[in-house]
Amino acid sequence: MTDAAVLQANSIGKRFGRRRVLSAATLIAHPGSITVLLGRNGAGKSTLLKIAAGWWRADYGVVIYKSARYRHPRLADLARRGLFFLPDGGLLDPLRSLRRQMAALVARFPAARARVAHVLELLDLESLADHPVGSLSGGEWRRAEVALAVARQPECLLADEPYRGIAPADAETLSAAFRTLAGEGSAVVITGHDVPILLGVADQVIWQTAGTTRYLGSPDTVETHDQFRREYLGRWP
Amino acid sequence: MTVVVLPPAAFLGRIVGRSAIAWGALRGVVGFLPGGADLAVRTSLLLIVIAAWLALFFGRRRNEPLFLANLGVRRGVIAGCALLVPVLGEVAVRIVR
Repeated sequence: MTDAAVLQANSIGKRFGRRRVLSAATLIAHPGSITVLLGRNGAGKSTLLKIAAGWWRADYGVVIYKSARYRHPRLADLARRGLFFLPDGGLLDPLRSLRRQMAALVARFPAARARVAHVLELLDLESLADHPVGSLSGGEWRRAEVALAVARQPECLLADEPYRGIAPADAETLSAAFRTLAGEGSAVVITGHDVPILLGVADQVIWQTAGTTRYLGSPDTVETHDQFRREYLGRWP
Repeated sequence: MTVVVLPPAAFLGRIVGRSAIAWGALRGVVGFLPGGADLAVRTSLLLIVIAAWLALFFGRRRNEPLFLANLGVRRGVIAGCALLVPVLGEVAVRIVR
């Protein structure tokens, strides 16, 4: 952690019908740091990320992005101020090539132009950049989405399950990209279930359980947290 | 002050193109129905809404709203782009008649 938080989603509550998913969840992202959000299936990780990104509305709570308070933020407004949201359900147009979609990003944010070649190399996508994204494998598609995010060089990146269905070698490539972004000063938040990979890349860990969040600290201390081990990792004693 | 960011030209063309095709197709179908040559205002409004909805629906299947939101384009602006051709088309048809 190098500085005050770029993004804070404070006391977020969200209900779907009768089911309360979030009751008082808090997410904090610091510049130059990778925060990993862990939690069981249905714990509300994606919901919290979507609300923090301004893609979904919270029932209550507040989002503070770069010192501005939002009761109901909009992704488009936050994105103009440097946030990038990488959803779980797909970001790219399957019928267009990554290069064409990169061109749209560059048209909107010209500073990204100088990074495109480097990013394609970093994520090993040079030979795939001119193919329709729909013709790529799941892992290649995910790398392409991360490439777009890295090219944008956001001040805050929220990535929902970027490692899902990814081979170990590709996961290493993604981790390197996230570390590069954090090294450049971005605040990176990642969710997922691939515990060894996620703890390997994390600077701090947040555990989401029972509608709330608990700050667990550095990955080294996570394994010694009894309740986390018992309820999330499933290893006890 | 609210900043209105339009979609990049390629996306704008696609959204407008899709809504134009949808509106044209709907107009063609309605034209064959009894009384289809002279539509009530309410029916025209319905055609506009359906054409725009179809354009947005097919855009959503291609992840357009999220991609454009990450470029700073609001959902309302995308909807406005999808409404453009059907609205102008219906107005033009009424003026010509």
